[in-house]
Amino acid sequence: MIATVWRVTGVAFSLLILLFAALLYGAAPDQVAFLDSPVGDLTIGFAVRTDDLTVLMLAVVGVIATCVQVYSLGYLHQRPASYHALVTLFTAAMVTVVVSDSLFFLLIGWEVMGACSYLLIGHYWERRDARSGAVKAFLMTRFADVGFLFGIFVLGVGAGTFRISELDPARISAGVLTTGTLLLLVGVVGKSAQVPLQTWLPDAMPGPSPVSALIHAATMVAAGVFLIARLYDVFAASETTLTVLAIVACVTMLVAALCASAAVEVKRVLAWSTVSQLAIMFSALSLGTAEGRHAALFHLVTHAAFKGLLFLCAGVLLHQVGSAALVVLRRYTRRGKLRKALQVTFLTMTVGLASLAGVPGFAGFFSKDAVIEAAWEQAHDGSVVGWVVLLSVCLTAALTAFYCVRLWLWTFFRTPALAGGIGAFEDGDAAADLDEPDTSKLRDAPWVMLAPLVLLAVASIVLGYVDGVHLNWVIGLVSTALVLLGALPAYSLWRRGADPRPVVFEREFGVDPAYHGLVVVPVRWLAKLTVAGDRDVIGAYVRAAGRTGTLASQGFRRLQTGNVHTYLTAAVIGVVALAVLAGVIGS
Amino acid sequence: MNAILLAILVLPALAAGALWSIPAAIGDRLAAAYGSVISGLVLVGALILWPRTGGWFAYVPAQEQLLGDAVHPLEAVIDVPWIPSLGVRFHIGVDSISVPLIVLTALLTFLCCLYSLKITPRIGRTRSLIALLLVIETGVIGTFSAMDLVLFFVCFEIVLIPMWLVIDIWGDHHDPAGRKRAATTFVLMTVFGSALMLLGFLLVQRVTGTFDIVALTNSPVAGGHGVPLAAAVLIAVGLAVKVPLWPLHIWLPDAHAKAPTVGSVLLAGVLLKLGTYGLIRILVPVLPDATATIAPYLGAFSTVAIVAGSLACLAQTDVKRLIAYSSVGHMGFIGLGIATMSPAGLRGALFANIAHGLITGLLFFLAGAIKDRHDTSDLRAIGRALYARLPRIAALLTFACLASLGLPGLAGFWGEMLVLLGAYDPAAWLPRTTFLVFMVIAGLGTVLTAAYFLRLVRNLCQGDPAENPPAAFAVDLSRIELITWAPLVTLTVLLGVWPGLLLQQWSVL
Amino acid sequence: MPLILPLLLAVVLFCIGVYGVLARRNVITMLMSFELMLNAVNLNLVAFDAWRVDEATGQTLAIFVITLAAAEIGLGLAIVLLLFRGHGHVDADAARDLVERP
Repeated sequence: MIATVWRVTGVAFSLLILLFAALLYGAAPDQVAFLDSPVGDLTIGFAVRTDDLTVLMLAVVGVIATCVQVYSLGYLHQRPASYHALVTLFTAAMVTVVVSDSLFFLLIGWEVMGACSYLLIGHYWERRDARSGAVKAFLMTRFADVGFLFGIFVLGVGAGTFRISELDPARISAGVLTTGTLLLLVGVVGKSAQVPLQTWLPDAMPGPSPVSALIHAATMVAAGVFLIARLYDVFAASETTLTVLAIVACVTMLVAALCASAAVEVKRVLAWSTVSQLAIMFSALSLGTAEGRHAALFHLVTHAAFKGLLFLCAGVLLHQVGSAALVVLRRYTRRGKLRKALQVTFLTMTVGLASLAGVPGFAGFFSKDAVIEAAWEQAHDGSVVGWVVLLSVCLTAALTAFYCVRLWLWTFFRTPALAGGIGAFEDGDAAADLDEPDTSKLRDAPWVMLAPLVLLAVASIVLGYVDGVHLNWVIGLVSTALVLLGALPAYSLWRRGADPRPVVFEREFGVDPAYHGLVVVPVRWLAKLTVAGDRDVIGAYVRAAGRTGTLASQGFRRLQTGNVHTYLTAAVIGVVALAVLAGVIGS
Repeated sequence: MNAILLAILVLPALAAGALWSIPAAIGDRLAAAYGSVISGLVLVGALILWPRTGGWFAYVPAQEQLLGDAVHPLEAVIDVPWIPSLGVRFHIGVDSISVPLIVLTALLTFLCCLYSLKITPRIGRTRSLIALLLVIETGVIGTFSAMDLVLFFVCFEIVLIPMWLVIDIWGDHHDPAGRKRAATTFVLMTVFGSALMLLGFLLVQRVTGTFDIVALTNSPVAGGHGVPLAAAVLIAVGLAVKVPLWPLHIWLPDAHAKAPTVGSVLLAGVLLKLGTYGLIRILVPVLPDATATIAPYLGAFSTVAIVAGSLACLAQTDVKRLIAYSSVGHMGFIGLGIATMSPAGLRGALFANIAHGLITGLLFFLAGAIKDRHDTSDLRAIGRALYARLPRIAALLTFACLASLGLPGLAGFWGEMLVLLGAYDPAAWLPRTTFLVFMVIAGLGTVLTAAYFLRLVRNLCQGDPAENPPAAFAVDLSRIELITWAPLVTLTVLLGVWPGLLLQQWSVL
Repeated sequence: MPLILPLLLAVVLFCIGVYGVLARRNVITMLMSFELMLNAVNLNLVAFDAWRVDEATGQTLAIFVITLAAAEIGLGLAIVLLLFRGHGHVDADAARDLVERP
């Protein structure tokens, strides 16, 4: 009964957000402050604001949240009450971030999202990978949030206010501005899983797929992009921060795309792809121009649609087939079984992947082109950052097409190579023993799960045209060429039944084990050292104090010899000494 | 007003005396009910005292104005001569700093008595336990309302012997030697600290000629060297044992691990506040220049406490010891806030005091509940997958852990945040770089705090249910537990989303 | 008679008494030596009184000392008797019942 209540509440709440966004559309920007507390010179309070960015984000959050809540009605049967409650709480926190005008109010939403993410990744807490993934996600984002908090301090104290609408870059000193924005950037890097804090997002995949769609594709990880967009004039006023952001973004997009090309499980590919696409949004923001900001937000919206769609499709595969590992899925592709049995899923996943790859006509094509165009404008003006961003985005577009086509082909199509390309994925997978699985029971998902897929697939096409079509034909042709450049190697490898995965990419550049060795192992050692120190050093002092008392009394006890003569001798000596002293002092 | 303060001060002690005079045949339930009624009355009285205007009597130190320039009178003042030959007066009064703490004390004592209605100790003798809790309540309220140094010291000491008895008699019944050792260490270390503190008070009296806190605050002791510095160091060290500040914290883990549930709740929720309250009430206002001299050291030890407490938690296998070390870390934050001597820092310290009392009280209630159900507090013996075996209690434990690690939106965040803000921008006469280093280390300490709490949740609540079958007598949340813990949960959330409820009390700070 | 002569005698007697108390084992001999010390003090007091003609304080104090010595010797001999009954000897060095074992 409670589960039903929460299910209804969840769907209703997300619809409410959509209603809210619709009501606010076109309204004049406004801010309201409440619950102010003065602390010394500063005021710590809550405040909300509404403007175009808010409405856009509310719409995105509302649509994705509704899709995810409806989808979960069919997907999730284990502990649904807590699941829907947490997803609703998460959505509320995201709304808080989006409408907040006070840096602290934003921080509350920011961190509550992190807590909900932890609890939802750990939804299947019986599984070890879910438990460790949840902890890793929370700790890495918490570490980044410390930097975020310090950034709020620097900016707030430097500007004399914690209200976003009152932060005026012209009135803040340059040093404060740079330090503050760099620290905020630390928080953004952690929340949006950019290098060097990128390892938590792929490990968050043991969570339920709708959670991955909502939190780790559309909303929470996009909160970093939103933050920079919200504080854009503050960030744009600091050249150093923009350069650092550009470097981080370009490195991340390439690293993540390479890792996606070597991942062997659908959700992991999508997770790395998310990291890569977020990096593209950040690179657009790092250009420092209004076009860059617009392109980033455009890509955020389209990405929310197609990435959410793709994760939900992965969820269908998990729900119907039982696994999302390529080595297992590929066994269902004989005579096209998988794509014939799961027709709607196949079609919508194709749309999603096409949009992600940037196939012309789909929304992803338009948003990626907007980014390339903004970068080209900057590069054209002679900016080094612009050139770097341009080249990185182009290279990433090709890589994106590569792994999208790779994923699509290996999941749904039987490779014409001998024996279905045995050896491409076999190494070390337990489910590899199944030779010919029983596909007679394979059905598509219930309509509750398919309806959101269709909606998001339509969005992945239509969103490209919503803002009117501003297309630079040259850039369009270049990006199409890049798509082909990436798609062809994937196709030819698939035809040959090979999937070469360089060890470096498969090991994801060894970052995770490095962090384990650099951070986890020393901290555990220090913990043992501290406990030993408490027991053997500080405890020793306390025990020594007690022992001193005992030893002193043992020493004094030796005076009590029981021999009267000893006592009398001592008395006589004492009297003589006192007499001498009296004489000396008296004289 | 005066009558109410005097009433809530002496009522518990008189009630305890009355309770002891009744023959021991009185049932456990009746004793707990009696205790609940008395502490409930005290709670009502304390709430009536809640100051209507946000203010505290402020002072102007020798160099410059530290904390506001409005002089509001104390509320509910009683000022009569007590020991005229020594110049000691029975002077009590409350203001916006002490009343929230008094309300916290009354609330926690009330909840402990309610809890004892259904959940009585294994060895019985609830009558004496309730009486001792009431005596502790008197001592604590006396300390929080004392406006005379000797009266402060006397009330400070009143709580020690009852707490020693509580730990020694009703403590961990598996380990008599251990609980005796824990209780003795607690008493001896705290008495040693109190002796040093008393020496400091006497030095202050030698310099200024008065024991009266109001008079001393209005004309503080100038000078940062010599006798004022010696007095400040003595008082600081003496209170540091109680706070507890690293490295004088070693009594806390043992005392908590061996104490009964209600003992731990009061020890963590109330007794630890005595030390920090003393620092804020006596050290900072009465000896401002000397405090400015020792503030960097106080900050340094507090920062070490944050990190050392968190690291020690990461290696713990006993639930109650883990929460005890987490208290060491949290009190480190409060100590750092006091050391910054800035409006944000002091407000953060005061807020964190209340928040820690609520959250750690809840944590110890939960730990006690889990320990009672499994007859052990060792993580390895309790097993895992409490989400499957005790779902509601495990959910509350997760909530309490998230609150304690300082998640924004819950009460624990605001105190820590304001302390860090205070460290970012400390008082003008303190070395800024040092405090920035402290701030960074303390920030990293919050990550460690998150790490150990998540480790606790992972090792206790999560896990494979197949490997951890439910224990025979472990039933989920009972009604009395829900009633007792609901106020703590509600207040944690309320203070998290509406910190102004408390912060506006200290707007003059 | 010069004052110094009785004082010297008193000192000598006192020293003999101290020696006896500290060096002799037999408790009765210790008591006798202790009496010797007291009488030496008495001699001292009376000598000073004789030297200061109109002074009676010393003699009064000497009477007190004699009385107290008598009382104390009664008590002391009672304890010696009990010691003898309990241990069979009156050796002070051997009677170490009140020793604190470390």
